[in-house]
Amino acid sequence: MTGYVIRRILWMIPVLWAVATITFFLMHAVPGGPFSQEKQVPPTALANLNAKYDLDKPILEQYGLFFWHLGQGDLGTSFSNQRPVLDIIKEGWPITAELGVTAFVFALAIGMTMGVISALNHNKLPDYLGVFFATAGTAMPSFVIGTFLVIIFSVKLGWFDVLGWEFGNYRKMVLPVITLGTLPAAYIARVTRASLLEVLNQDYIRTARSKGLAEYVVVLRHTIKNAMIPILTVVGPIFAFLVTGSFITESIFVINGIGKRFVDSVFARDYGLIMGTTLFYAAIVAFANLAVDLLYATVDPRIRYS
Amino acid sequence: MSFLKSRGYLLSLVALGAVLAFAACGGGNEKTSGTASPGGGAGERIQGGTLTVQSLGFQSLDPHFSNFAQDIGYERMLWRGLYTLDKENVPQPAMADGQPQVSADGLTYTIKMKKDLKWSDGQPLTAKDFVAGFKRTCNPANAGNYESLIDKSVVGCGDFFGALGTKDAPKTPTPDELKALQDKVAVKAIDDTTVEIKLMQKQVTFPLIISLWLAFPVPTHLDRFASETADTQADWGTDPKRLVYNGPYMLTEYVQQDHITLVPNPNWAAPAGVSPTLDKLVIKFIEKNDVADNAYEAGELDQAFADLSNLAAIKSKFGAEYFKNVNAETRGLEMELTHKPLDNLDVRLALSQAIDRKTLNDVASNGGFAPTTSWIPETAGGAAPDAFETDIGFDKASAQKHLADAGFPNGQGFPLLKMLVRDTPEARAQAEFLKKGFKEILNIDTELDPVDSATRSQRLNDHQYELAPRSGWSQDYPDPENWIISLFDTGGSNNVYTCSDKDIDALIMKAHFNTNDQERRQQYKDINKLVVTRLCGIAPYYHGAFHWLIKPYVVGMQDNATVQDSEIPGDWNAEAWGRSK
Repeated sequence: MTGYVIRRILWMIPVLWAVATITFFLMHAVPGGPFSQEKQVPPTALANLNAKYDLDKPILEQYGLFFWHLGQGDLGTSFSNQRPVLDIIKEGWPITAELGVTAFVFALAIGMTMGVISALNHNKLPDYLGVFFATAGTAMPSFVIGTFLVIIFSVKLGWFDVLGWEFGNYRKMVLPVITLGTLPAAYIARVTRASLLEVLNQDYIRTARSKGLAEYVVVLRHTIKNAMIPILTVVGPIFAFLVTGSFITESIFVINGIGKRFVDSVFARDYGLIMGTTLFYAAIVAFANLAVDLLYATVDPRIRYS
Repeated sequence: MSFLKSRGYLLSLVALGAVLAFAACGGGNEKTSGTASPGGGAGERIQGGTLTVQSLGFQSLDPHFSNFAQDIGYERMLWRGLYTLDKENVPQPAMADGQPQVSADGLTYTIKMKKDLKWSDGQPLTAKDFVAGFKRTCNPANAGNYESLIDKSVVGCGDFFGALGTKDAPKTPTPDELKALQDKVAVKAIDDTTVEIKLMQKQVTFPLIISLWLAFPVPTHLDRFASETADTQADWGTDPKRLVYNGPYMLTEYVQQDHITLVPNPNWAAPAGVSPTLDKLVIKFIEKNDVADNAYEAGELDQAFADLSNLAAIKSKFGAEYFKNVNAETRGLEMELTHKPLDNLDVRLALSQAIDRKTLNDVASNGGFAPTTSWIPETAGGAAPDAFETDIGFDKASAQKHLADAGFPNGQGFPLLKMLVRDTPEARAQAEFLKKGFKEILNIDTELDPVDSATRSQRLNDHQYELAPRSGWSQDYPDPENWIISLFDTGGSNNVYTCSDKDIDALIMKAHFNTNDQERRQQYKDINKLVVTRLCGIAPYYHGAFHWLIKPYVVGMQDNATVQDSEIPGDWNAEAWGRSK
């Protein structure tokens, strides 16, 4: 197992290099640059700006400089913030991660609970309600959910704040978590329901029930555990998605996380921030996938890594 | 600058909603700048209290580098120059003790400073700090965006700033050569309280230019600024612990992408006797105006931008708390004049007269702006909005006649033109409106070419477009020259339309160096008329406007709102803000 983990981590190096290389050349190939603006920068000022940020150098030299600086732990400078990219990530990501992890726990709790209830009450009212939640939650965009929640619970009822995020302060946590967590909760509910229904029809479940095992033992020990592989498969990417930030949720609640900055950086041609956040996201996704693969072996003894 | 870019981005969600909202009945008591303001802004300021207001995040707080309107608004809260613009945008002494002494030849400005000026940390603010400010703006290593305003006036500034050459003709000066160029920038401290500036040529607008952010002082007593050289620049920074101030406020907290907190500066020299009364000013960075309006309604904000897509409902709901201020910004249909048939004035007149400006504003922009036919706004020394109505305004019959005169009767043989448009709902809505009008009135076909903002800017600057709706200009400083120079002179750096008109060029040359202010202003009015009637690159269709919600107990915002506002009403004189309860 240890050897497998080390090999997977080493494999991440070429993956991240490929991501960085593709991103670097793609972003330079897109028209416009960080100083493209409607009011044209005078030629001397443009030359000075390019010199200040090494953009006056040949593209391959810039590419080499990026990796040279990366090797020294420097992700570069954000043109649109005039700050080191690393500082921006260090400042924004913990907030994004707090929101993301909380939304993940919410999504997991709600999604799995509803999925289990639906499956155990197949074609009954709880199942219909669960399917309705799963369908509506998937269909409704988060900006619609967030906006409605704000208007009803913040503006009209005054129960929660409109602006900001503060871990531990329910007034600032509840609405962003619901907004961000509803879609993944609905998705997890659907997958859980489908997976459980499949397991519930297996012979060994019938056997367990025939042996007189209590229903909760059948469900917890024999059903859920065996239904976990498909759920784990979707939960890994969902976790990575949630902890890398959401442009929409961060915009609706004015949360100073990293998700919005990533999207903004693309439109602003903020090369430093694009490279830094892309690499960071790629690393998180790679680690999330590794974690899921390791969890497979935990829930299914038939899976062995050597 | 700036707020065009920022506002455009913010307004990206308005258009479709705007069309629907226009159908709804309006209401409310719209107040505009210059009218009585019994609501927000009423009452006497009391000492103390907090204001929490909406604005946008900044790129930099470095006044010798900054480019964006909101950045400049914040910088004016934290620092001031020798002079400052008052409510009427007239330069008044700030750190200076009276008007500058100007030599008989008009080329040497000697400015005495007030005595005993201090930075917020109690250290003396001296002439050396202002000299450093000018030299920092001229320093290529700092790469400031507004050096061009003194490039051709202050002796040595342009040479120093241009030391690295351009992309096509780069130079590689040695550190010694850079130092020599820096030393030749003719701004010096005669003594601790006297600054002398030498100009290459007389410039009527120079007192105005040195009232701007680019002439703010540098705290040279701080180690990092003391060690600046001609080829290295200190990071101005945004950390409240590392900065000192000479403006009305001090920065005490900065949470990126979230907010800043300001408190009064005890060493503020209060040029007009106006000092902050607030205990605390919190500025939240909120890009989505519908979100800010919800926060305003929930009591989390004391001021917010009104959401343009919901303007009718906002006016109706908030009544006197709604406030509109037409600003110094003009938008219109840009035309690249080297592309046939746009080189033909009749074609340009046909296009301009096929634009129903009032309906365009009402339908595609929810009535948020001020339709116009003048390039330079009247407030900036131009002409009234309807001044050129008969020349270029909406007139179907005249538009069709001009198209026929150009050799395209009823649009026959007219080539397909592409409209380069920013890919936002509002910009698309405007372009669709124009496309429909051109087809119905002129029977010509146009096609939308939607791209993102950076691509659009690049293509405009590279002249790779035919038509560009919703393009234009926002004022950097309140003088008509800012609306003409570099924009309509042959080869000007912002002349994206390739306007080349010898009458305009000749008048620009006269006006630019004219020291008779009254005559100069008339010349700019004449240039404005030429630019508009010859449609030398743009058919103007509206002046921009800000729309705000302001709580009734907020004092000093509406009263101080000017066309120079960066983002918040009266933010160029934020020391006058306060609460009445």
